[in-house]
Amino acid sequence: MSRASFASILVLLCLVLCLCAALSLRFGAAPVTLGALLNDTLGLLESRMFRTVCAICVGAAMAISGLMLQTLTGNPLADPGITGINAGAALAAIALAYFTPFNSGMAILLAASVGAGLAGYTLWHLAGADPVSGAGGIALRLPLAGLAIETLCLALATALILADAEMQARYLRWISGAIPAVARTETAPLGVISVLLVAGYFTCERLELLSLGADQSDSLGRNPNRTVALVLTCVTVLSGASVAIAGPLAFLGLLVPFVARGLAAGSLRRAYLFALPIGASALVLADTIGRVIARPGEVHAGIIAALLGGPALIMVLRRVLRPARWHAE
Amino acid sequence: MKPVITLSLALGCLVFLALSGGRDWLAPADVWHGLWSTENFVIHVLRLPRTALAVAAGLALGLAGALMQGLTRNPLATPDVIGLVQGASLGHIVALGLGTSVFLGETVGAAFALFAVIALAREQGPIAFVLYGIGVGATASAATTVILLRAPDATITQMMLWLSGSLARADLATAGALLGGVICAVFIVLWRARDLRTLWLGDDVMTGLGVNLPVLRFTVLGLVTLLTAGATLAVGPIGFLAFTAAPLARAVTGAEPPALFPAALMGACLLTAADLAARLIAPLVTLPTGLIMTLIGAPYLIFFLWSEKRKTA
Amino acid sequence: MKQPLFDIQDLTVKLGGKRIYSQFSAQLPDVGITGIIGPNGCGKSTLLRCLGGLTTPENGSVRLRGADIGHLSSIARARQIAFLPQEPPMLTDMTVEGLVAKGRTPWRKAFLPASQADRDAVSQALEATQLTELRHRRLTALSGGQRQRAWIAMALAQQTEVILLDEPTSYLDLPHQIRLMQLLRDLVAQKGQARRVVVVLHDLTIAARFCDTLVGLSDGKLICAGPPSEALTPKTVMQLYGLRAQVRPDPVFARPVVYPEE
Repeated sequence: MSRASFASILVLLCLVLCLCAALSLRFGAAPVTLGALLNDTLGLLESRMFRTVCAICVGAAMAISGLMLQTLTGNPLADPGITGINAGAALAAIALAYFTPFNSGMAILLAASVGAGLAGYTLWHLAGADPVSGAGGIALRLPLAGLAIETLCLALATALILADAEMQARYLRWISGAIPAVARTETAPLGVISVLLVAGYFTCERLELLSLGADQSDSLGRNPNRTVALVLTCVTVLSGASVAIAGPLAFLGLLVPFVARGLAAGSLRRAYLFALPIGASALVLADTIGRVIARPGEVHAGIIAALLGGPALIMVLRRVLRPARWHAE
Repeated sequence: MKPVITLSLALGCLVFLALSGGRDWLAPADVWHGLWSTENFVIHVLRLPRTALAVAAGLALGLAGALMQGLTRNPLATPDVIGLVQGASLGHIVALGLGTSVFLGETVGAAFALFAVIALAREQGPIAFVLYGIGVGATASAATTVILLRAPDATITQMMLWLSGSLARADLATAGALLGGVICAVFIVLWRARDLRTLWLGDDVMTGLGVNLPVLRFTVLGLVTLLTAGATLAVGPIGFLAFTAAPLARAVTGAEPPALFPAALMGACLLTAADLAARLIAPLVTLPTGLIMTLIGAPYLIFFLWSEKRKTA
Repeated sequence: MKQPLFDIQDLTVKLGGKRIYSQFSAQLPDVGITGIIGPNGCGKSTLLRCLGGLTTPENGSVRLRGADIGHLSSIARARQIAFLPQEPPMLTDMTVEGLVAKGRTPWRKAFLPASQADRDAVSQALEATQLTELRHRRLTALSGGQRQRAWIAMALAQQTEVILLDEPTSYLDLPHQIRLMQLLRDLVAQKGQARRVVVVLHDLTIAARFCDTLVGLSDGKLICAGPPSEALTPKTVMQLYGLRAQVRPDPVFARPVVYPEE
């Protein structure tokens, strides 16, 4: 791919993101005329603006953590939702609220990151460590380990929520993946996401070396274990921060990297740059659709994402399984 | 024969325990007398329907899981992992919305999910089968959530409880109907036992042994669909039961595959125990049985993957 | 001439859109062990599957002693022909006896437990394969050779006249290969029960040593058929494998051995 076409795709994607953001500002659960919205007597525009910023950050973070996880495991199905990393973060955040009085943004962020880290570590032990190429790369182990971790964490989280009416009121919305409209504790996670999205770009080169194989990476002077640690940290903190803001969103990290890698034609750094605006646009759009289709109520972005995510998983499977064609049973 | 007898005895003990246990423990003699006098409120209204339902649904799901695992020769391809249960739930919600028969909706939903997975994974091997199943299941449960959100609030609360797999609203009529269905299924299994005994041997060996594969497939898939739909209707989408029952039955009793009846009995034992646990842990809150089942099943799946990994390493 | 065991007429087989056989005709004589040889992908396994009725040909017929296999019910067929695939499935927690008992499937009746005849057939099969001692072992606890014998015991318990085996020796070391082939020889030599074995083999030396008839296939065509000394010649080796070779009888058993020159 030439430099010019890379730049033009990137510009186009950024324009799409701007369009989505504009739609998200304009339309919401409450039908308001353009004039009333601009006069902004209700503070509606401000809350929509905050919500859009959140969606952009979370969408980009999910896309990037999916992209890095997929490259690391060599498995195109690895996304923070399917692998249970998001669920681990959600469980930790809910356990924090249930057992301790801490509720600052930083505390939630830390707890969620630790939870994501534990889930990621378990996953790595159950399903990682052998990024085999070809048919092995789409092996069953990873999605299954993810399914186990995810259902276990979500069941525990639900048990904690169900046990307490106050918890129910506060977290039932959050656990189905809703983008917040009022700033409470989101500033710290937002800041962390922005920093990590920039920092993550510089791990791309190491990660690309690792995907050639651990020995290859070692012989080229990059310690593979350090790369794994670096990338897993990045992924877990990104997931932790996103979950702290918007709850455990599923499937966004599956489809977006798939599209981005298709556009980037082999370069991880380009895929990274593409994934940022695509992920952001996708979540902003999902959130806007969720606000519009069920007026005056709302369908949470997480549910819209999951609704699109199931077919997305099937689509990705059809693409990656087709060439493998195992011996017919 | 021995595994079946062992597990039947275990189930009998568990049922007795489930009848005597709860917020107030009853003495064995009280349970025994309570069973025969219809006036005993605790036994006849509170505990018997719940326990009967747990037994019936456990039998149905355990049998369905073992049948599916044997047909696909894949320990992971059970109705709960490959999206049948989720499909049945979606059918349940849609049927409620349309005002048609819920059982019909569930059967259609489960059959549709099964058909989708088979069509998608055709000729791509057992791994693809499970992967597509996860995808279909995810789609169905997301669709269920969306439909649920449009429903009136009273329905939502009720449905949320059902969706998390609760036995709280059990009644004897449902339990009896499901038990009748299970007995029919057992009859069919005995009738086709000659062919069903060859499950796990693979298509080629089975054909070589004179099994009519299309007929067998149709029988198994039909049974699995109906059993899953019936059990889901009665107790909600309970995950991991079908998946754990058969391997656990084989591990405990040493029964040989396909171990259909041991798996069914083990399923009943598991669900009865899980329901008892749910009642004992939180007597006042209606803690969903499905939640307990997940807390048993998900760690088992993790253990399964871990031991598989150790085996290959 | 005696009636052939298998009579294949105008066989046309397509697999996955690819034509494997077209108008293929051959006759397998009624002798103890018939070996099918040929290069990879020549259709050996497909032919064996057609003989066993596992693959339905698009056209043509396969007759077993004059009876069209396609017209038999699956049970009737399974009472005459036993088939073992090249790679039998790995079964984790089945016992040897459990597996062998599965061979009784075509003889079992609905709702009834195993009969005395079933139990006798199983114990005879275990005895013939020298597995009686190991009958309660799990399959996973067996060596490769023992596991292969357990599968053959299953086919024996089926009490069929014909047994079809697809490369049964491929994962065995030399002593186990010899022992397995010796077992097949014992089976066809048993008095009172005239069994016939049709076996796909890769190793030409083994095939020539133990088979009564060899059938050579290449690219869906019949290249040679007959006793080993007639079927294996430099000319047929060239036609089968595209290999220049000399064929000499071995000094011990006087069976033909192929010496490739390239």
